[in-house]
Amino acid sequence: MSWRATVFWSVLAALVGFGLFHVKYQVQTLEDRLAKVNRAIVREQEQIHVLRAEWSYLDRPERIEQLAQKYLELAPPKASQIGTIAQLPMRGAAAPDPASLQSRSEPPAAPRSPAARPQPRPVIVPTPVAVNAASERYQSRPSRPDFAAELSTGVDEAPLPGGGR
Amino acid sequence: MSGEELARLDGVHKQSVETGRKRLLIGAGLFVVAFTAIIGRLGDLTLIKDGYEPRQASRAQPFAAARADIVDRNGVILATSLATASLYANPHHILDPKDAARKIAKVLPELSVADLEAKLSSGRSFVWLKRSLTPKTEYAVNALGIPGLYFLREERRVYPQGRDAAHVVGYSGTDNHGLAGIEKSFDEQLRTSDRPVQLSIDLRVQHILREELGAAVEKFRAEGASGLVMDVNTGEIIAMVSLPDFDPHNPIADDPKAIFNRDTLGVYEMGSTFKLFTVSMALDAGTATMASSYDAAHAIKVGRFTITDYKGEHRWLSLPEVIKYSSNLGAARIAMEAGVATHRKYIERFGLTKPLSLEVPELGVPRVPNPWREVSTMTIAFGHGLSVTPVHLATGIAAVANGGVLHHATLIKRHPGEAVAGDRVISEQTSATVRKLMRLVVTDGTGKFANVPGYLVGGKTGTAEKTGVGGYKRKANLSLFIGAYPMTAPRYIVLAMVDEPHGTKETYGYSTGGWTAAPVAGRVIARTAAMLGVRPVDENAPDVRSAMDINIAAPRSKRIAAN
Repeated sequence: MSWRATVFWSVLAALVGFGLFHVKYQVQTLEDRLAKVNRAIVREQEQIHVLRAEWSYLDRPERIEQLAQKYLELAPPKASQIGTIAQLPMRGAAAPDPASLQSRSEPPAAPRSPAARPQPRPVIVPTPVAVNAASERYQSRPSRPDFAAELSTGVDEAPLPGGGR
Repeated sequence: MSGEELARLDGVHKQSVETGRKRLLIGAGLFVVAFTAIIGRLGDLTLIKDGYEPRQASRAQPFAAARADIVDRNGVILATSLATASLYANPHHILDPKDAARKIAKVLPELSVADLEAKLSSGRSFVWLKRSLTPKTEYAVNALGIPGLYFLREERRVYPQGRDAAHVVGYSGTDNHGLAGIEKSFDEQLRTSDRPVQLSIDLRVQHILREELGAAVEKFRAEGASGLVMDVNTGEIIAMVSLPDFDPHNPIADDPKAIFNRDTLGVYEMGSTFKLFTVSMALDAGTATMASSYDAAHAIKVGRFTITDYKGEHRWLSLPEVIKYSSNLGAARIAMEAGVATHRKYIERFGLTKPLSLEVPELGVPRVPNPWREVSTMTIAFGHGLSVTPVHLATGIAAVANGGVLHHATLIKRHPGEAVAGDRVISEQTSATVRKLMRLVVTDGTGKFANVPGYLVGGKTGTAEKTGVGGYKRKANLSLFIGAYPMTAPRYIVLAMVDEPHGTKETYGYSTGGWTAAPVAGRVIARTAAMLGVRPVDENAPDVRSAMDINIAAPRSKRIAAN
């Protein structure tokens, strides 16, 4: 009777002891991993911080300006180039009279170098639906083909035309 | 032993057993209570209190820079702190200083071999070799494999936008303490908080303003220039530039004069731009109307001063004409009719006599005449005898243009929709009238070069002679233009100021505000209006025409005018 109890209790004690150590080591491993992950997070955050600084360095107006002059045919918009949605013709309506788009009083802005660009560029980039083939010359043709697709998808807010340099 | 004796003994025995039992019971009871308490406490600690899994993730310390960022109103970083490695050496651990010095100088060519050798063979145990290395050079130094060289992680302040907002942002020293601008005034907050300081500056506008002012400085071979763009309705400064400027990474490398912030620290006589304050005052106080007229034919002599007009019309002028032709005589007479006390009261209300409450430490104190005599009122009427900073001028003109409410200038972004406190300075009616006059200056007066089709620019030019030794310098001008747009409901103030411009062939030798500063303001408006979301208006629309309509009929004769 009593030896059974002794065996029972000693086995139990051994099991509990083993369990305790097992859990303890597991916790220690997990804690090491946690610390490692935390360090990695901080390192990652630090790198994001550096990248954000680099981004804003690459994003500085001075550089964007130079790149835009090199690759884009864009110029600061003139007041006459900015219209409202209300000025757009209804879907399916006849091609708009160019004069009606130019509601401002002043004549279309003269290009800076008349020789390079004899035609005044469009006022508003028309969406493909709103404009018939008749007004072919009012289609904006961005110089970079990959931007062309992007520009022609703008339906609500017509992007400013890439003209009038 | 007798039976009786035995029975007695048995009784004693039983009694003591009974006592022992009772004691045991009490002891056991105590133990039960104690163990129950322990079990209860154990259950409480392990199961009830904090029974959930501990939240280890929250223990992670987020990355925190030694100084918080400074960002513009759109969140673009203007100043940030980056961790860099700084190289130091322990000369005791250096085996061959000569060889080490030669090797290090190869990787860091800006350090001299002799200097390095002296440092490395010194008896000290710590010498700085170079602060803030780039990761590339750090790697190169490590690759040398010289024992005794160590790196210390340091934070370095970086200004990605360079000179663009140098005067506003300021700069900080190597020990990460702000020394100028926002860096200084928000030093405490930047060092203790992780939250970035968000300025009212819009970097895009800031860049354009700097570019245009820089072009003017070059074109007119000017000493310098300054300018600002301010939100009329909130007092937020959208852009503020002072030229020459400096590189915030190395501020002392530049001319010490470059660190001077002309916008907030410099006080100048603002010339004819003050005539807007004069007419606002007279119209608001009721001492003048748009139909009033003034003798601009005869010079005013006060003591040893003689007041004349720059390019006089030499006749009587109506009030709108005084502004249109920028007549000193007219302005002086308008102010005198209102009286010294009234004039002074209004100048004080426009905030032109007190220091600014702006968020940079570099703040100039206006030079106010003391005592304020009659001649002071006469000269201040056309912008001489009272010196203020450009921010003072812009704040005052904003109040003139926005419907008559003065808002303090600020460099910190206001939350959209936040109610902005302000003091009423002039009535809405007066403001609307003066707006017409400002528009007149740009359509028919001295400010034509500031006009931008579609944006209804209005403003006033000014040209002040700079004070030199013993009076005014004849040839050295301070030429400025202050404008607002669109004049039907102004949104932004634009101020451009060119210091000592020289006339060119294109300007027919003129170096006045209308020829030098007004074109700068015009180009800044043309380039930034769409960016700032100002919708162009049709200048020929009936409501716009009637809002800007003004009767500038010249007085027929002296007799009628005198009435």
